[in-house]
Amino acid sequence: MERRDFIKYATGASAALMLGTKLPWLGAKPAQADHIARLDITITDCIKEMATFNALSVIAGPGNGECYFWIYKMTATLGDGRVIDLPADCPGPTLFATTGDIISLRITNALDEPHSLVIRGMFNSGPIPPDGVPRDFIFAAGAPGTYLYFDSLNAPVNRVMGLHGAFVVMPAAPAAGQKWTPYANPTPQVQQLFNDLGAAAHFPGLAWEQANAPTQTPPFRQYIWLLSQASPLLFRDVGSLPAGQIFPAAEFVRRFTRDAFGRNNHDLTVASDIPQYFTSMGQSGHFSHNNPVVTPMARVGEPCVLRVLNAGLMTHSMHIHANHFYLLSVDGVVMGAPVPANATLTRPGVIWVDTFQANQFGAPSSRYDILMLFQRPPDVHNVRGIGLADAPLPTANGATTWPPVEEFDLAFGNTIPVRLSPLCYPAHDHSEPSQTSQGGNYNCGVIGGQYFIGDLNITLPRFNVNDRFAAPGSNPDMPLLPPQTFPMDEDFAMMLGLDQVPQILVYGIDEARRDGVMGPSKDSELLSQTPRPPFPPPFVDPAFP
Amino acid sequence: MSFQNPAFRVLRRSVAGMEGMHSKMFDPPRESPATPDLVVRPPLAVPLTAANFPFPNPVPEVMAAAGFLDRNPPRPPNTVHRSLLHGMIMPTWDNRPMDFFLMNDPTGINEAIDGSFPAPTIRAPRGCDFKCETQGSPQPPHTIHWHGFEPTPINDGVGHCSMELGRYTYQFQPNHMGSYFYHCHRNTVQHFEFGLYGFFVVDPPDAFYASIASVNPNGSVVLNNRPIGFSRPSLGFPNGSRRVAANLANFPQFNQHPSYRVPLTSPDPQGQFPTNPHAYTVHYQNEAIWVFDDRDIRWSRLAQNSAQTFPVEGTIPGVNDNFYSHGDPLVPVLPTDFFAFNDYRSTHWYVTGVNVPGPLGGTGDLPPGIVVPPYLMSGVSGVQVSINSRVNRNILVRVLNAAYNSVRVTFPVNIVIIAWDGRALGVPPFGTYNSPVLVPAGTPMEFSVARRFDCLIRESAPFSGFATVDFLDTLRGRSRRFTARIPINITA
Repeated sequence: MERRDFIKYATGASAALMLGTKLPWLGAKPAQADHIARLDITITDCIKEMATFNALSVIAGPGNGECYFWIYKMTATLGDGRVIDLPADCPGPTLFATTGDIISLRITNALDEPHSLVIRGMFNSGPIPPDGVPRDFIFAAGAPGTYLYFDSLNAPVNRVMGLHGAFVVMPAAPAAGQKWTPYANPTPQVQQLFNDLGAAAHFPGLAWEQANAPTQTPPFRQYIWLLSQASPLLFRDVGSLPAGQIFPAAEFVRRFTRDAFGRNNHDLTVASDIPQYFTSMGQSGHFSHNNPVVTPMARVGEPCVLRVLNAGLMTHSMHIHANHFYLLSVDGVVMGAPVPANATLTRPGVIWVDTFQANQFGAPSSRYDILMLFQRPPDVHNVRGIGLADAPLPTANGATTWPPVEEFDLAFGNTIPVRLSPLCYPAHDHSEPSQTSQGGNYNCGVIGGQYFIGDLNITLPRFNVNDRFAAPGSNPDMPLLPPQTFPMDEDFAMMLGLDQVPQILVYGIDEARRDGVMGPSKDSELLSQTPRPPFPPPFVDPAFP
Repeated sequence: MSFQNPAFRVLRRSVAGMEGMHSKMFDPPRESPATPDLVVRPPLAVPLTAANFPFPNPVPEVMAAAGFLDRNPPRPPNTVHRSLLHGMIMPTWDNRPMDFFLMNDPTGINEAIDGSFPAPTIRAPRGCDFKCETQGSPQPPHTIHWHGFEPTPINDGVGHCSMELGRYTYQFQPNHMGSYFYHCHRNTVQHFEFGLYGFFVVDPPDAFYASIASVNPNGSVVLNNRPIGFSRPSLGFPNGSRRVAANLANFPQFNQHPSYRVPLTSPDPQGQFPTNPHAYTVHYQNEAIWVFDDRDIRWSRLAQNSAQTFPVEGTIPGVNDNFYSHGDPLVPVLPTDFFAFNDYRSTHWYVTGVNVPGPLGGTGDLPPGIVVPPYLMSGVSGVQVSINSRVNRNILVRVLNAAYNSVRVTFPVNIVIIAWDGRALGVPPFGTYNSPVLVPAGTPMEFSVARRFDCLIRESAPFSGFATVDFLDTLRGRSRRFTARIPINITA
C-alpha cells in the first residue's frame, strides 16, 4: 500500500489553516509563520458522499448515501505569493489565528441567493449578493476562544445547509509568570489546572504548552469537534429551488425537526425529512473515529484541549470513554470564577465529567472547551485504588496490569484481523439516534474517540509490531515508531503519520502538497527551528526480552 | 449552482489499507477470549490487612449469605453475573405491549433472575477487584460498557474497539466512589433504548466487608449484625454508617466532621486499607436512585429483531458492504422493514423502571412508597425511588438520565450537588478545581443523556411536595413531552 494514501486520509477530515502573522503560541519563527496573506472564500455547493452507501441501489442521489450541501470553498494566498487550494468540503476549513491578528478575506457568492459570513462579536460581511463579484474585507481576531463562522442569513437554513466552520483564536501570551491556557484572562481555577499539568503529582507528564522532541509530541495539542446534522431529502429540495427563490426558514425547520415519522429511510416515498447523517468535522463512523484529525491520539501524560461546536439544530450528549475531562469554558465563559456567595449550578468551578450536553447552535450550553487529560485509565488495577497512577499489579501470566501488554497482542476480526493496539476508546453522542446513518447502520454516525498511542513513562521493547521478529527498519512500509509509543499495526502507524510533523499545522499544507502546489519539505520548517532529532535506540526492558 | 448541477463533488475517502478498521466499526469481531491480564488475588479473609489489597469483590458472597442469590457460596467466587435477554413484553400504563431487552442475574432470585428494568443495580466497594461474567442469552452479539469507569479497552465493553460477546469476564478496579451505570454497547441506539442497562454504585472501600463476621473454608461468609452496605464504625457512628464521597466544608448543615476531610492518600488508622477509606466521605441516612427513561412504542413494535439494521461487511470492504441489512445477508430487506433509528419520538416515560401514567404532553405522578428490594440492590435494603424521610437526616439522591433526550429536573427543596458523573466535587487532588454547589429550591436543571449527579437534601422542618421531571425533545424545539412528578415526604 502507498504511504501517501494514509497521509491523505489523515488530513481528510477537514483542512486547517493558520492565519495572521504571529504564532508565538507555536514557537515558530515569525517569518516562517507568515504564510497566509489573504483568504479567498467562495460560497458555493457540492454533492458529498456520506459514510454509508447502498451498494444495491443503482439510483444516484439521496437514497444512495449522498447529500447536497452549501459550502465555503477556500483558497489561501501565502505571504510569498504561493497559493493553496483547499479541498471543497462541509464544514469549511478550520481557521486558527492569534488574538489581534489582522485577517484579510475576499468573499465571492457563487450561489443564487444572498449569503454572508459572520463570526459573532468579531466579523459580519453583511449580505453578499449572488453576483459572483469578489468583495474584500479586513478584520482583527478578537478575544481568544472557539467560534463558529457561518452564514447568518435566512437562519437557520443557510448555516444548517453547510455554510459553517470553526474559527479558533489563541492568546498572544500567557499571563505573566504563569503557564499558557487557551484564554487571555483565565479564572484562577483554570490557571491553576494548567499550571498543575506536568507539575503536580497527580498530573505527571507534559504541560499543555510543552512539546517533547523524542516522541515528536507537539506543544499546544488541540482538536476541534464541529458537530452537525444533515437531511439529504430536505437539502435536495432546498438545492432544487429555481434561482432567486428563498426557501422559507419556518418550513425548513418544520421539515428538519417535525416531519412525519418514516419507517424506512431507504424507501424515499416513506422516508422522513429529519436528519439522517450526523457528523463531526463533516465525517462519521470510521471516517471520523479512525482519523487523527478528529480523534485525539496521544500518549499518557500528553494533555490536549478539545473545542466543541454544534452548528446544527439538535442536542448531542457527548460521552468520552477512557478519561473524565474538565469543562474549561461553556459558551465562551471560562468556568470557575467568580464564585458568588450563593453559588448555583452554573458556578461549580471546572467540573470533571464523562458526558456533556452540546445544545443546538445559539442555545445555552452549545459551545465548549474541554481539557482531555490523557491520564492512565484510572480503573486499571493498581496498588492503592484511589484514582492515581500507582504502581500496577502483577497478573496471572507474569505481566503487569499496565501497560496491558496482553491486550496489545490480541488480534480480532471476522475476515481482516485488527490488533487491539494502540488502546482505542470511542467518544460518541449518547442521544443515540445520532449514532446511525440512513436510519440504521449503528456506529456510522457522529463519533470520535480517545486513542492512547503510548505512555510518556514507558518504552516497550517490542517497539514496532511488524518488526517484532526483525531488525527495526527492515520493513520499508512500517515507519519507525518513536520511543514510548505502543506497538501498532502498520495501517494505524501509517494513518498517524508519525514521521510527519504534528497535526495541527500540517493539515492544509499536506492537502496542498498532494495537489502539487507546495514543495516537499516545508512543513517541518514551519514548526521548528531545528531539524527533528533521530530516534534513539529502543530501550530494552529486561522483563520483556 | 444547484442540486442538479453542483460545483463540487466530495468523494468518500478510500479505506484501502484500512479495511479491517473500516468494517469493524459496524460489524465488530465476535470473540469469547479468556480474560487477558487476569489479576489473581488472595482469597477473601477478615479482618482485612492492607498487604492483601486490592481485595476480591465481597458483594456476591454477602448477597449469598443474606439469601439473595440462588447459591452459596457463589461460583466462581467474588464474581457478579449478568446475562442479556430479548423479547420480554411488559405492558405500559395504558396497557399497550412494550417490548424490552433486559439484563438479569442468572444466579439471582425473583426479578433478578427473571430480568428487570432497569437491570439489577450493581454495588461494589471502591478499590476492589471487580469481575462480571457476562453472556448474551440466548443469542449474541452484545457487550457491557461500564459507563464512567475507565478500564483497559477490552474491559470497556465497546465492540468496535475490542470484541462483542459471546461470553467474557469483565474486570476492573472501580477507583472513584460515585454513581455510574452499565449498558449494552451493541447497536446502543436500540439495545439501550429497549432496556439493556442498570445502575452501578461505587461505595466506600470498607462497605460490604464491614458486614462480614467470618469466612468459611468453602468461601461462603457469615454476616454480622451490621446492615449490608454500612461502613465500619467511625467517629460519631459506633455501629457504622452509610457513606458517600463529598467535601462539605462549605455546607456544615450536613455534619461532616473535619476529621473526615483528610487527603485520599492519608494512611488508614486501622491498617486494613492502604489509605483511609473514609477520607472525604459523609454519612447519609436515606438514599434514593432516580433513573429517567423514555420509550417509543413505534420502535418497540417495528424493531423487535435485536439485529435490526445491522450492516454486513462485504467481500471488498469499503466497496460492497451491505449497509441495508438486518444481520443476515441472505434475508432480503423489504421496504416495509424498519430502518429509522434516527427518528425517535418518545411515547412512554419511566422513573427507575416505573411507567409514570400519562399521555404525550401530560403530567403523571409516581406513587409514594416505592422502595427497591435488596435482591435488586446488591443486598442493600431501603433504597427508595419516591422519597420518605425525617427531618434532620442526610438524604442522598443519585440521578441518571437514561432517556434519549435531555431532562429538566426541579427540586422543591434546596439541594447540594456533591458529584457529577462519579467524581466528587471539591475532593483533592482532582477536585481541587471545583466545589459542591447549592441549587436553591425551584431551580430547573437541564442535563443530557447519560449524565449523573449526586445531591444531598437535609430539611429541618417537615415537608411534603414533588420534584418535577420534564422530559424534553431536543430535536423538536426543546419542547416538553411529558412531566413526571416524584413525591418527597419529610416528616417530623
